[in-house]
Amino acid sequence: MYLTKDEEAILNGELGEIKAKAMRILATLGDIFDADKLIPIESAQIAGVSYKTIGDAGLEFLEDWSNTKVIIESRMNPAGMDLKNWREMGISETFAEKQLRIIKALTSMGVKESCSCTPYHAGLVPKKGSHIAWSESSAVVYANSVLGAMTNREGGPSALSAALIGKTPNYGLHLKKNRISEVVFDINFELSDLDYSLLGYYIGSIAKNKIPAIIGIKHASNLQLKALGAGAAAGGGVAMFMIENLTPEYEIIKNPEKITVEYDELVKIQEQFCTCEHPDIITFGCPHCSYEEIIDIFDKVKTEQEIWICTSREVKERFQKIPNNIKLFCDTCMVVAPIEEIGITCLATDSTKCAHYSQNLSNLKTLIKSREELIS
Amino acid sequence: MRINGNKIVPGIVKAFSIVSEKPISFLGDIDPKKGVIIDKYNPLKGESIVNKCLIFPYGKGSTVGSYIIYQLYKNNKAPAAIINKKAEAIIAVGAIISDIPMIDGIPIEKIPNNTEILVNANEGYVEF
Repeated sequence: MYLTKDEEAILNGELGEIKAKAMRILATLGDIFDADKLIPIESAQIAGVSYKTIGDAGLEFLEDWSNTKVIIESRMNPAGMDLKNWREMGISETFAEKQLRIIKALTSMGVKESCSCTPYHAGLVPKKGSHIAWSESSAVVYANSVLGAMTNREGGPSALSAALIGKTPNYGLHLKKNRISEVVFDINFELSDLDYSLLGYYIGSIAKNKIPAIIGIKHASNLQLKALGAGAAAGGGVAMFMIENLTPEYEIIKNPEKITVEYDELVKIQEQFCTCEHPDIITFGCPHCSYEEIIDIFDKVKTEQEIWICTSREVKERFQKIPNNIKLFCDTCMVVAPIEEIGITCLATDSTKCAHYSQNLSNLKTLIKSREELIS
Repeated sequence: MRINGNKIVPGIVKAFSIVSEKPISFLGDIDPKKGVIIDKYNPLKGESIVNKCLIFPYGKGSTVGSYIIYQLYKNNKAPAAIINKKAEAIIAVGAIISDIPMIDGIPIEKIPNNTEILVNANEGYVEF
């Protein structure tokens, strides 16, 4: 990959050892993925923030890198706990101490303490065609598919390097020619809210790392597309999807593979994620809830069972009155919080992503139902 | 014998080889405190990678693997060099942040196990 004189100088240590390593990460990834050059980016969203996922290894790394500064708007992915109300979640002192050290390392680098997988609900909305380096899988798929911004699925260190240098290698979804689908899914039935998450998971499991295109969906809200994308990124490695007449981009190759989706496939996925009947807790916010989604829950809630809602701090701060059986947590989510250690064995969710990781990462039992059913 | 590949992370070292035919996920397959292979499906289970020239086809698994390589390095349990058939992001990033010389594009089946190897990652070749 071609480096400019200034980029070469950074690689050779002009801005210190850490920026040299960050530049080497970008240059090496550029070589591995056949990028021609580095391109400027507008924002970075950095994953690998929870102590549960990165452990002592990641903590040590971030502390060692904490004396350098990011040069573009940079946000954090959710942490392993609500940074203020972690005791209310039942998080241990040991976990909290390490988690707060991770946050301190990142904030001292200039990364904004806004820990969310939905920065687009919290004031950071990339424009169509803008280049960004985001890493959380559902945020990546939303940015590419719904907003029309351009990002690859970055890892934690590569997104952090992009934030420190302000650039990313020009390959993959940063190139218009790669934003094209080879596989079209045909939907012949009406979709409920829960169906978007189930459909996403199904499509992801078939499309894997490809870009799926969808025909037969006439109307969908951005919140429904958020659920679809999160499911697709969890079920496979989908970084972008397209829907005919709905998403900002819709390009398909000549003679694509065509798959007609049977409703039965969605039922099977729901069954796969229903492994218990009596949840200890009802959870929402995977991906993080928007203001409107929380209002909807507050307005309609009838159940007296305990409900945990996860959202960004920016959204949480807009609520003063919260119903008694509901806890509104920010900075974290059920996927990256150590919920297996805080006495939860079965959780209810409306998200295939949450169910997938609760089963596979946290060894929990799950129950998946629509939001309306869960709060009734 | 000399085999040419691509330089990924610069450096020149001499070390004994440990050749895994299986891809490696550093998260789960390697003990970060001891530098020992713990993947129960790997025939090399129990063997040390510390200060060895670690040779395997490619990395797999969680991106946290990059940080595990870093932790090995901080614990003085890192491999002296990494040789891959095909480099991917997790291993390359881990090698960069940990200053471990790395080369890819090497037909690894040609390299014998437990043999002293010269890794020249400044120029991108191995010699044994």
